[in-house]
Amino acid sequence: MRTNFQSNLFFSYLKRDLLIAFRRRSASLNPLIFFVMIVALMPLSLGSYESRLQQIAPGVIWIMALLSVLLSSESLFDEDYRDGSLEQMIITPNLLFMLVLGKITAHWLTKSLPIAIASPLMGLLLSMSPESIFSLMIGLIIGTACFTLLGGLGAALTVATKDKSFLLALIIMPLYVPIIIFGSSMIYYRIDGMDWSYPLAALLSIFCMLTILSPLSISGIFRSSMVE
Amino acid sequence: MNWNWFHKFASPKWFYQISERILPGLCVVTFSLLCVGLIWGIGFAPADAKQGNSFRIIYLHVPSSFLALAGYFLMAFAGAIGLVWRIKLSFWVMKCAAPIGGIFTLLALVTGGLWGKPTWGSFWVWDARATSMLILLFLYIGVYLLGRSFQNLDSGDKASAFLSIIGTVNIPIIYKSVDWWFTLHQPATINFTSAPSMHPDMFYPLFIMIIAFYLVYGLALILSLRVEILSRERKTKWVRKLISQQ
Amino acid sequence: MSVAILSLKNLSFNRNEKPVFDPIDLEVKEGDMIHIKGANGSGKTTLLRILVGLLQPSSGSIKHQGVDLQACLYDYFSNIAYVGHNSAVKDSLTVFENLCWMSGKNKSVDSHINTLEIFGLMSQKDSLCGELSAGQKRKVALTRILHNDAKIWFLDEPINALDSQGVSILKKAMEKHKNNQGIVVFASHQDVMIGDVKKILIRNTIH
Repeated sequence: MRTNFQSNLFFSYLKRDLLIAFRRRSASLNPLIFFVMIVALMPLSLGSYESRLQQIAPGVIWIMALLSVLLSSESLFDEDYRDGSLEQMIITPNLLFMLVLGKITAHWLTKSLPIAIASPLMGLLLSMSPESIFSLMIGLIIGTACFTLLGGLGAALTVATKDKSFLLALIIMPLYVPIIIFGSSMIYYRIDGMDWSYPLAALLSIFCMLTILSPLSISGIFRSSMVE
Repeated sequence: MNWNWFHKFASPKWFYQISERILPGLCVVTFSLLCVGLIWGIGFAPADAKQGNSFRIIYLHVPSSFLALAGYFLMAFAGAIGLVWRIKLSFWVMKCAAPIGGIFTLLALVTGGLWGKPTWGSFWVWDARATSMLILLFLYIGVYLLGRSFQNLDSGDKASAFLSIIGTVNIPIIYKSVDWWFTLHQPATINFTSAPSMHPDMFYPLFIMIIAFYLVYGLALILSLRVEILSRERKTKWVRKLISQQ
Repeated sequence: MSVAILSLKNLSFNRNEKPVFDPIDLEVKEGDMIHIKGANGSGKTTLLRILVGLLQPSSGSIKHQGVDLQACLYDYFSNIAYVGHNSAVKDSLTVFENLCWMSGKNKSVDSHINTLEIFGLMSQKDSLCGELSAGQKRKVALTRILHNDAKIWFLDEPINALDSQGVSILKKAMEKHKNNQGIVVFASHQDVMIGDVKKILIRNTIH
C-alpha cells in the first residue's frame, strides 16, 4: 500500500512535468535545436573532408550532447524554487526520492532524450558509418540519462545561487568524465571491430548507480535546509 | 554520553587560542624540515643514472601529488563531519582546504610538466595520472567556487560539503575510467607505473620532503582557518574584545 | 493539561553568524491562532520556515508533541499545510490542475470543485494560472490549504494581495479551522482584525 503510494507519487510528478513541458513546447525544444545547430556548425569550422569528419564525429557529437544537456539542467529545479513549489515538495510527508526521480525522468524524456534520438541524423551529416551510428544512439540514450541525473545534482546544489548556469557547468563537468570516456569508446570499439559490450556495460552500471545515488543526494541536499 | 569535549574541540574560539600557542613551534619545525629536505635533495642526493639531475624535481612533485589527493579526502571528510554533526568549525576546515588543496594540485601538475619535458620530451602527456590530477584540480575549483557563491554563507558551506563528498565517490571511478581510456588510446611507449627501486640516499630526502609538505599543508590550513574564524565570528564578543585589545 | 502541539524554547536563528531575531519562547496548543507580527525584515518568514521544518534553528529547541522536530519530521509534515511567501502555483497549469496536484490523493473531483467555490474561482477553473493576477494566485494557494486535512496551518502574509472580500472569506475559514481544534499560525506585518488571536512580536534588538 505504502510502496504503491510512493510510485503514484513518482507518476504524479512525472505527469505534471510532462504536462508543463507539453504546454511549453517551444521552450522544451530548445536543447534539441541547440544540439542540431552546434553540430551542424562543426564541419564549417573543421572543413568537410569526409575522412577527417568520420574520425572526430563520435567525440564531437558526444561533447555537444553533453553541452546541450548541461545547458538545460539549470531549469530542472529553477522554476520550482522561484515559485515556491520546491518548498512544498520538501515538506511533503513522502520520500523526496520519488518526486525527484519523477521530475528528472520528465526532464530526460522531454529535453535530453530528443537529443539522443536526433543523433543518428547528425551522425549521417558528419558521414559516420551505419554501424557506428547505431552504437552512438544506444550510448547517447543511456548517456543523456546519466547527464541528466548528474545535471539534476548540480541544479540542486546551485538552485539558491545567483549566476547558476556557469557554476552548474563548472561543478558538474568533472563528474561527466567517465560517461564521456565509456560512451565515446563504445563507438571507437565498434569502428575497430572490437567487442563493444564492455564499455556499454560500464556505462550501464554508472547509469544504475546514478539512478539511486543522484535522487538520494538531491533529496539530502533539499532536506538539509540549504535551500533558502 | 558527555559530548562536551567534542563541542569544546569544535569551538572556533578554543581553536583560535590553542592554534596561537602551537603556531611558532610548528613554523620552526616546518621550515627547518623543508630546508633540510630541499638542500639534501637538490645538493647532496646522487643524480639518477638515466635522468641525471632533472629527476630532482621529484622532491617537489611527489610530496605535492600526495597532498593534492590527501587534501581532497581531508576536505570531504571535514565536510561530512560538518553535515552530520552540524559543526561550524568542520565546515570552515573544508572551506579553507579547497584553495590550499587546489594550489598543491597545481604545483603537482606544473612540476610534473617540468619533469616531463626533459624526460620524455613534452610538458603534457595525456596519461592516466596527469589527467586524473587535472580533473582533481577541476573538482577543487568547483568546490571553491560553489562555497563562495551563496548569499547565505552557511548554505554555501553545506553545498560545497555535499559536492566534495560526491567528488570523493567519483574520484576512483574517474581514475579507473581515465586509466582504461589511456590503455585504449596510447601505445605503451613509456612505462610510467613501474617505479625504479630508489637508492636510500635518494629516498631519505624524499621522505623528509613528504613530511615537510604535510606540515606546510597543516600550517597553511591553520593560518587560513584562523582568518576564516575571525571574519566569520567578527560579530561575536570574543573577537571584538580581541580586536579592541590590539 | 494537554501536551503542547508545538513548543519553542529559546529559539534563535543566525544568518551569517548574525542573529536574525531575539530568542523566542512559545507554546502552541490545539485551537490556538497565532499572529507573528514584526516589521519588514524582522525575520517573520524565517521563523515561519523554521516552524514548518524547512530551516533548522541555530540554537534552542523546537518540539512537536514533546518530541524534537527533527526526530519526527515525516510525522510532522503530514500534519501541516503551508502557504509560503511564493504561492507555489504553476503558471502552465490550470487552476483546477494546480489544486489537484498538491492536495491528497483520496479527494474526489467533486470536493475539488466545491472548494473552488469558496473563493469564487469557479469561473476560472480551466484557465491557466499564468493568466491570473497575483491576488487570484494567492487565492488558489489558499484554496489548496482549505482543501487539505492538515491540523496546523502556516500562512505567510496571507492577506497581502487579497481583496477585501477575499480577506473576509479567509478570516472566516481561519476561525472555522480554529474552532475545529485546528491551529493557525500566520505572519503579517499589519494588524488583522480577527477574534481571539495570540500575538507574537518578533524583532531584533541585538543589532
